[in-house]
Amino acid sequence: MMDMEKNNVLQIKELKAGYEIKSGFVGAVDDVSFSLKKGEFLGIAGESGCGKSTLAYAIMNLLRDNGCIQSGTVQLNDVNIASLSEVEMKKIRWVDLSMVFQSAMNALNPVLKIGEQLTDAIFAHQDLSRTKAQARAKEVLELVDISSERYDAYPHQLSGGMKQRVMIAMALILQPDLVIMDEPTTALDVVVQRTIIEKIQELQRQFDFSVIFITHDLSLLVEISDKLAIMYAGKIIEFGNAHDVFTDPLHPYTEGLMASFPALTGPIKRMGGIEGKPPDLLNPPEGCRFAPRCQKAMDICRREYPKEYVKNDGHKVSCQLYREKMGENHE
Amino acid sequence: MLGDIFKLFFENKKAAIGFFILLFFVGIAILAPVLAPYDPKANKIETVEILDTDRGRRKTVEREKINDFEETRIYTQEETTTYKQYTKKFPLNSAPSQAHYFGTTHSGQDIFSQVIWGTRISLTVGIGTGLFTTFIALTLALVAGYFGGLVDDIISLFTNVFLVIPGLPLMIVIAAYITVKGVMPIVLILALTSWPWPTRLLRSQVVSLKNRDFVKVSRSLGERPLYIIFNEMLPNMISLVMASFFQMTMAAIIGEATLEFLGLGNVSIVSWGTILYWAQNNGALLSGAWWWFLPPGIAIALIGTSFAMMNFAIDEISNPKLRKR
Repeated sequence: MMDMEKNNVLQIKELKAGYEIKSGFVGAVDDVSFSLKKGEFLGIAGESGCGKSTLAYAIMNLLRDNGCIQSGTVQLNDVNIASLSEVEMKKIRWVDLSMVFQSAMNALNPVLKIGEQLTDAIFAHQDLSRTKAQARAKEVLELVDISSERYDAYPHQLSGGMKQRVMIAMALILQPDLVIMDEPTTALDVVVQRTIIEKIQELQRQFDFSVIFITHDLSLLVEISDKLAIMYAGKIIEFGNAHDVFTDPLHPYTEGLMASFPALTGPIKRMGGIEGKPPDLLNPPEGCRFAPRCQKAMDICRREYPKEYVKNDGHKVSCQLYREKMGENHE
Repeated sequence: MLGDIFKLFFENKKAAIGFFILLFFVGIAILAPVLAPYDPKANKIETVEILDTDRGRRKTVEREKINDFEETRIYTQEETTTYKQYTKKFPLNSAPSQAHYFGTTHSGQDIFSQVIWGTRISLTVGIGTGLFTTFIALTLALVAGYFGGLVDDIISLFTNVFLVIPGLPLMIVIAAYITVKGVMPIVLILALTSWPWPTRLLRSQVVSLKNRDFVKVSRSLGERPLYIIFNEMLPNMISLVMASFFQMTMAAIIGEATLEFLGLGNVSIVSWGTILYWAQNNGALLSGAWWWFLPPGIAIALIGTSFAMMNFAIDEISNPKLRKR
């Protein structure tokens, strides 16, 4: 147990985060716990508005304005990020954990050369000479397959895929332990998406950093991640090895998701969907949040939220269906 | 980077034309004493030639002996000077000629000299006010836009209040109360009445930029607020800042002309505005004395053209997407 924890780069416990609005608190991330080992690739999937991005920003401690972390801990290496002040956080952010933002098109300053933007990231944290910083920036550009001659290019001179790769280079420039990727390939076509994903995997093998990859594209995640977390209405309802979750989905919601994209091989089946809409996070339903849409819902589902049950291989699920079949998770 | 910008600026035709027009006027302003053939306020030339100086007898008024070696004396002495004075009155209200390139006013002052000397004051007032107003507006806009919250509310409140006060009447009222006549009060009056509009314009741009993804990224990178403001946001709004500066300078030149035209400035100073004021006052338009109001009018229009040209160019230069490759 101790060894396992030592290996963990990130350990999140009972994290609650959300947004304060006039009519109350929107609990976009509710009681989320999971851990991530060094070099692991965790995929987080879920539909729009289920709290994926809020979770990412909470881990970065970047929730702004009306957003905040309500309770819980985010342990990065040995530090609880959630309790750090903005000044302390600034020292850690980008050095120990960095982020690839959703829209690379807008995440680069249109009037600055990409090289300058890369070196800015270095200068914000290190006292490096200009030539050394430039060399480092060129090095990371080469890492993501962009010729170092493009150091002087402006963002509009690059394609969408190249801009996204520049963002990845920027995330890696200070060699962090953890990189959070918030839908990095959403705006790109599938071919470019493929090359970027392959690049990320290659770099991850090379530098052994951990990745949290957030997307609504479940088929993509199943293919690339080691661990898979399924989020629904602010909660992680299923967590396990990607292969296990894919071949043996436990939660009815995961089953529904898996049934909603076609397999490349095998007989042609009619696609199933999930009826209904996700709940309003301002007033989440009592009991299991998926119960109103669940075809297997029982009376107890509408009364109390299920505990987390764990299979022998570490495959965890929060569903009353497994109340008797599996042991509780006491982590 | 600054070197790049200068190079790009002069490679740009529009910028070069605009810049040379401005340079032309700045040159005139600086060299006014050399270029102007006559005194702009005089309506005649007077030359005086001393022919003879005759000193009368010295008379001792007082004498005081201090000791054997020292003494003081006070004398009076009369002096008679004989001189020749040559006066040539300028023709009144005359059309342009060899002697007076832009003609003369109703009282015979040389308009060419007036326009040349007027360039000095008009440009000083214009550029001075432009710089001052843009500085106020940019500072307020950056503070209000970037920091937001209560600071923004207070600055925006004052901006909006000043925005609804009509500028010209306020200008007139303040001008009427200020007793110091000269260039500085005019600059201050113009700056005080023209800052709200660019402040509002720039503030909304700052707010928009602040919420762009790349600023959020810089913030998450851990860059300092001042660094973000000046290195990430300001380069994105250079063209707008320069547009404000040019517009404020133009407005100040015209505003100064307006104040002078209405007789609220100091009508005894010579500027493009006062030339127009006196032209209007003496019915130049009615009497068809086009040489009186046309030169200052054209000068104002040329300065405007110069600023507009440079503004186009700055737009192209500050936005890499518009740069010609």
